Amino acid sequence: MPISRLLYTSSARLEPGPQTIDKQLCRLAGEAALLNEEAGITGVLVYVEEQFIQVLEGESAVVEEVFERICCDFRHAQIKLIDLIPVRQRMFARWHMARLCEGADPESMLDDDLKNIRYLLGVNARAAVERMYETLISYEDIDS
Amino acid sequence: MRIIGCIVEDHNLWFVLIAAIMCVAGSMVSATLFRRTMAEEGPAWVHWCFLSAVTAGAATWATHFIAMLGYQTTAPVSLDGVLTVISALIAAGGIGLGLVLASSTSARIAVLGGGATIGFAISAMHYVGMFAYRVDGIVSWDWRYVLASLAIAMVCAGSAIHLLRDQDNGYRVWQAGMLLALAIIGLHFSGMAAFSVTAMAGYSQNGDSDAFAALAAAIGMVALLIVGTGISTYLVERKASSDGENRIAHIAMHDALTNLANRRQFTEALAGECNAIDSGGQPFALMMVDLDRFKPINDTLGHPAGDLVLQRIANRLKLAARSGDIVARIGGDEFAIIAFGVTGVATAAEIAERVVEVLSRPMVIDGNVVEISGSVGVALAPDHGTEPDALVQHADIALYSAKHHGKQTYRVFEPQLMEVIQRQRSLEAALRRASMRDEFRIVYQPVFCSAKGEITGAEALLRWTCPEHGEISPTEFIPIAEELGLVARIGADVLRKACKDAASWPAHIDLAVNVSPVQLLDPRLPQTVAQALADSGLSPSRLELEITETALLNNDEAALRTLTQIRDLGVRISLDDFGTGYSSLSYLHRFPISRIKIDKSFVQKLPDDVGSASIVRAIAQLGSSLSMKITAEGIETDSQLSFIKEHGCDEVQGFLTGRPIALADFLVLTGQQAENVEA
Repeated sequence: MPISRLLYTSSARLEPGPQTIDKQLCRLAGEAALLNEEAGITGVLVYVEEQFIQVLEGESAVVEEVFERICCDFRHAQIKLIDLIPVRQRMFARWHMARLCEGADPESMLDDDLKNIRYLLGVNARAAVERMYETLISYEDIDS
Repeated sequence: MRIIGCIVEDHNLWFVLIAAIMCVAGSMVSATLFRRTMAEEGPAWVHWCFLSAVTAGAATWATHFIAMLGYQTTAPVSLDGVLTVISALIAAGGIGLGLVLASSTSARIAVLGGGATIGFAISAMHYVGMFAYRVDGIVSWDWRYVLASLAIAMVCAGSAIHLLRDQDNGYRVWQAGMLLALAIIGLHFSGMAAFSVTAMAGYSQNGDSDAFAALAAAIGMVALLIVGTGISTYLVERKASSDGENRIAHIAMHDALTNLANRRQFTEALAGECNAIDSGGQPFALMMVDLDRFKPINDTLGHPAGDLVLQRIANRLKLAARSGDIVARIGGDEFAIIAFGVTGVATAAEIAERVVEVLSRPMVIDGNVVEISGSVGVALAPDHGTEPDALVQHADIALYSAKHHGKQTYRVFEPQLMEVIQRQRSLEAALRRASMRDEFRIVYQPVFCSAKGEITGAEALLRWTCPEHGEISPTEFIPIAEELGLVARIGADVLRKACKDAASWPAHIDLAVNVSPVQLLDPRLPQTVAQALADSGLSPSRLELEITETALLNNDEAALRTLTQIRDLGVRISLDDFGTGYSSLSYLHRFPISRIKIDKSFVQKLPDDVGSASIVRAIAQLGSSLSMKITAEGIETDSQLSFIKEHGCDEVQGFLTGRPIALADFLVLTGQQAENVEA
């Protein structure tokens, strides 16, 4: 089965209301993770400066399907497909959908790292994906 | 009176009641089956004929039999089995024969022949059944009643067939069923009125009455089973055919590829809504949706991928519309939405915006990224019309306007758009005429050497005076000509004429001619250029073709081939409007370009605007390092001219140095120049 990695960005169209942005994000990401697990999708979701950056990895046909579902979802706005490449193996095989959110821990260096990733995205998408992986690994080590 | 008396006095009313129910139910079923049979053709007709005949025969026969059980006589009764069975066969066979005749296309044969045969069959069954009914007594017949019973049966059956021939009116089945019931009941009881028995003295009721009852019950049961089988066969068949009809109706009203409503359903729904609005119905919005870049997908990825794109588009449109709205595919890549209960522009705009957004999102098909987008035209009912045609026309005008304003957007209809469209349409017509009659003029804008101030060449510019609308700018009419497919022809004419004109100029004055992106796509362009040069005798080294970056953008392989062929003719290529488009430096490197023309938008901000100044400086440097000539366009002031001179642009062009002028004036100008140089 050919495996693809897809990278896209979008801005979240969150509803103004009693629910905090964090909670809405959590719900969104939770829903997505559940669907992804069923579909055998792995990857990472970054939220930085009101923007989503998401990597989806999986069987090419499934990635296509999941991305089409995202494109049909009006909670996303300004969806931009940054990169789509065939890959030999998954980079984020351990996470059905890892989450890296800005502002979760003001003390950590995470916010800076995420801003760097966002900057890198405009310059070299593949390097940005690698940076996401490294960031994820390093914060996971700290957490454990 | 004797008939009624016969029912009340001679019959057990319970049996009569059961017989009546049997009769009415059986007649209804028979009428339904008859109607079906008469509508069928071919082998199916034979099956239906058989089923109908057996069912109707069994029903009438059972009615007769049950009623006979209720006939009360003091005389002992027995039943002749053979005749009883024969009477049943007569009923089924006779009705079958009647049905064959009733299926005739001739009304006379069907009603008189078929109806009478069925009526006669029922009567024959009755009287044969009566012979099977052996009464030990003195039997007497009143022939007048017998004849009356025959007449009743035949007339009623004939009328029933007449009603059933009207296949369109379902209500007729009930009427025909009642007539059949009347035929059977009327026949039976008038027949019974004709029949009287007087018990013979000395005979007592024999012991066979139990056996008689058992036989009767068995026969009645078999008859009921046959009727029941007929009913359930009919119901099963009707269910299957109504499923089939539903499926056919769905196919007729839906697009097979996307499962959206098709044009037919859309037209019907729109007409329905328009009628409703006339009688105080809800306002609604009609949206015409057109994909902006669909054709290239079919061309490059193939039709299966194109179909998949359309299916996904259909799905996205359904999500962008609200539930309950009608989304229809009305053409290859054209869709329409009827959005209900839309009372104002704001709601319509919100939906249209969602449609535009969801269509502009990327799509991945088999690993290929498909960039697609759509434009939407909106018309509101009743504000913009209450007639389907007017609404569609207005939504189309809005769509047209959206497409002409950069696509990937929506427009709500406004009456002013009509004028714009009308101008557009009349320009289109005028432009067609103009290209046939050669109504275009060429003017020449002199190009000067920035260092010495001499004329080094001229740019040929196209001018058109529309008989209706006056002078039309090329920025307005060239895109229309491109759309109408006239641009290759107009362009070739311009090239030919300009080359001819230039051939008479002093040899040091070059000619520049613009080539539109559409012309550049035409593989015949090098041939056209060579022909124009050969016809005019102009040296290829004096001709320069100006292209824009947009021409290179999407078709760089084809463009590269064409441009290389032209370069090989000895003709130079220059890049016009440099700095406004994508301005990729790779173009300069890859394509055989010998000159860059700096766009006037930068030149006109000189020398005060720092950004423009540095861009102009950078382009000039770029030119010298790539050994390309640089021309600055749109020079309007002296300070602009001196800035340009200072920064090493080779040539200048603009209103300050020389406006575009007619050929005669240009010849005068070059003549003067020549004299000046000589003097």
